[in-house]
This record gives sequence, C-alpha cells and structure tokens, in this order.
Amino acid sequence: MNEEFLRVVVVRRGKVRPTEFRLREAENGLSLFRKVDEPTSTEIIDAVRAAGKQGDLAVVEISVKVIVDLGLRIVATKGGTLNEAVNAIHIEPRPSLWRTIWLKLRGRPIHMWLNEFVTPRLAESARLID
Amino acid sequence: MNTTSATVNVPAAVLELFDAKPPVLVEVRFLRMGTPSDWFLCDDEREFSTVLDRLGIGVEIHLRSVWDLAGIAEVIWKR
Repeated sequence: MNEEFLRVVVVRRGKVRPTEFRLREAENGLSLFRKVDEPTSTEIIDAVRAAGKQGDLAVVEISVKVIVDLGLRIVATKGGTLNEAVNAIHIEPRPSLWRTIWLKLRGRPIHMWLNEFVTPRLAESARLID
Repeated sequence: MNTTSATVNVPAAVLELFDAKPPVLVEVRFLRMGTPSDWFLCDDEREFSTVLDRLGIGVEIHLRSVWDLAGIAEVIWKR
C-alpha cells in the first residue's frame, strides 16, 4: 500500500496550513488526485492554476494507508479542470457506507464529521513534494 | 446582466450585493480540482472584476456581505 494521493495547496511562509484540507458544506469527500507518472504533479498544478487558483502553489502527498486506516473508502470521480488527463486521476476519500448511515441517523453533515476527525490527520501526514 | 469586467457578464444579484452591502467576502471554489477555495474581500465591483479576470471555467463563486455573514443572503454563481 505504497500508493499516494496528491492535493494542490498554497504554501505560506514555507508552511501548509490544516485549512488546506477542510471540506465545504455539501462535500462528501476531500478532492485529491492519484499520484501517477503521467500527468505529473507539475501538470496538475498547471491545470489548477489555469482555473484561476492563486498563490505559491505546491503539491502534498498523502499516503493511501493513512486514508484506509481512517476507515475511508476511495471513490474515483471525474475532476473539474480543463485537463482531461488530470481529471481522469481524480478521487475522493469518503466515509464508509455504514458511517454515512450512522451520520445521517444523527443528523450530522458528512463534511462536519470529516473536518473534525479526518482533516487533522490528513494535514498532519501530508508531505510537501518538490 | 451588467458588465463589470471587460470580458465577463456579471449577474444582477452580484451587482446588487455590491451596491447594497459592501464590502463583500468572495469565495472561489475550485470544484473537484484537488485544492481548497481562494478568498477575497472586495470593496466594490472594480476590485471584484480584477478577481474575475483571473478565473477560468469550472469555478463556483460564493459572495456574501460582511454585514450578513451568518444570514442566508449568499449569491452563488457558477462559471
């Protein structure tokens, strides 16, 4: 399980803040890309920048093991950039089905649960790559 | 539709928000692009147009007056 996922972040004073990993309401999983040879992380950054993302952009790696250990399932979904190759490697780690039902029964929005229990762990494990 | 930027038609609801309750907090969401939102505080349409001019296709813009952050008066604009 050496595979890794990527997220585009803004580096401020050499640091990546935990807020880079927070979800907005109505989101069911954090938007990430699979790490593959092609497209490269540079192409991913370029695709995101082309949409208008600003700042000192970089890519962080998140181990699949961390995501699996958190009990999340990995769902392949089409990305939203204008680069089809980049869109093809887009994924979202989402809560398991039983966790989704459990949250629904308690009236707890999925994004709130993810922000409370998952975001801190992902932020802690994310590693900036060159 | 009115024109704020040279290249973009801005919905009337957005212009009304700047007329009625500036400054406006602008959140640009990059949907399924593996990155979080960008945030801007715009005093007027001119500042907003400089934000707009840099944006590509596929983003979702959420605008809210700083005087109504907890309210429901949010304008959502998908491009």
